[in-house]
Amino acid sequence: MGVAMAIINLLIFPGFIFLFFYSLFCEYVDRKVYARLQNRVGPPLYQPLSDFFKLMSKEGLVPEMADRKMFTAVPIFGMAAVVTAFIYIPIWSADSLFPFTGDIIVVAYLLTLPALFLFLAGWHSSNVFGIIGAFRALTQLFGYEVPFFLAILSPALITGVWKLSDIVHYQLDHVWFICWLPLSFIVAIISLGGKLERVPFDSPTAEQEIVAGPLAEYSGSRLALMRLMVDIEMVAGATLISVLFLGGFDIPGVHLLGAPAYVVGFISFVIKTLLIVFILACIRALFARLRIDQMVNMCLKWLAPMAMFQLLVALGLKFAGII
Amino acid sequence: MSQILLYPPVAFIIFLLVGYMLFRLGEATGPKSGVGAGKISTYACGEDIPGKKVQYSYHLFHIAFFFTVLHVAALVIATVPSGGVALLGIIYLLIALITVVILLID
Repeated sequence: MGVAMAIINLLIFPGFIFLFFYSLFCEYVDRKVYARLQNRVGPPLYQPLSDFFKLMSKEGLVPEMADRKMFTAVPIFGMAAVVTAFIYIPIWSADSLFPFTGDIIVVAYLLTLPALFLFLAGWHSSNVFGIIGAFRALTQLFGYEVPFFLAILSPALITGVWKLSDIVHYQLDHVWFICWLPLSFIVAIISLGGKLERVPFDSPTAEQEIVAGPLAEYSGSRLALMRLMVDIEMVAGATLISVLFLGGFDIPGVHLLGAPAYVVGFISFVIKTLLIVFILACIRALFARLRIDQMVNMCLKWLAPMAMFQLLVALGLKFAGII
Repeated sequence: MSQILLYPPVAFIIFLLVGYMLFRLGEATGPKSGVGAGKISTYACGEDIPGKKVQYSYHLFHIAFFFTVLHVAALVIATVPSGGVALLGIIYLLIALITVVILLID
């Protein structure tokens, strides 16, 4: 196996290079679906890539009042966090790159970090818009984090294992979890929309109110890395939801061995993540922005109880022996 | 030995280096930022604001406490082992519920 294989896995597949291109492709799908729903043409396939290169080639300014080291460190740390989260999610088989007990908690916490880094980005910009956006991002975190964790941990609680590979194996032997935990699936997708600061949860980055919120002072390669962080977070979140609720690499009725199994598993991964990206794009086109207090109220009054109720029902079914 | 590279902390450090190299690539390909007074002043939609660090008071502390209590309680309850220890988990949950009620009354 060796160090070379590990490096190739980390940097190329399923590591950084694959994730870079796939997240830009998912951004393209999102923008295209959003545009078509608004009766526009939408961007071409290479648009997110050219946006990234354009931003990389621009001048990166650091405001005079901003903390230079933190200003530069935040995008780099944020991007490292989401890429690290992705490599522990199974993609084309039941096993991720490095399965271990408790990897579901590690992935969930690594996906919490981008919101904290957005807060740090806004705080260290020493810009009023940045600070308001930073506090809104943190307040939103309080809203969606409890439902997200309840929804993500429901499959783990039902199966009693804390390893993503074992959850996938459980779904291979039984039915996909979306059949037993439909409300958790819905709560997970809505909370993922909040985590990604997408409409209707984009008050931290409300263009019409606070320019760009925490990212108001960012430009050049730092802004490129922050945008890439959000795209990779979308792919990681969509992959996590598809692994937990949609069976991961599994296509019902297809049981192959060897290399074709990996190819079919990869195609299944692409289909399922694009389905979740499509759902997120439709939500983005359909809804208006929620005010921050409306968002927190909705999450704590509706989403968290919904997730808890679903969990109780599923635990009851498990003890009754039905699941 | 090669598995060490795939542990979360080590992978995080490797991706930090990758991110830093991307950042340096951007700095190298972009124009050098000439320091002009207007360019690096804080953005305020064209207005001249006095340059000082902005302080902002947070009005939503009760939501922060609510979140912390519920979040930690959910994780503790989820990971409590079965058996006699589960009773302690129920007592913990009762204490968390009392805290939530106090927060809601206030």
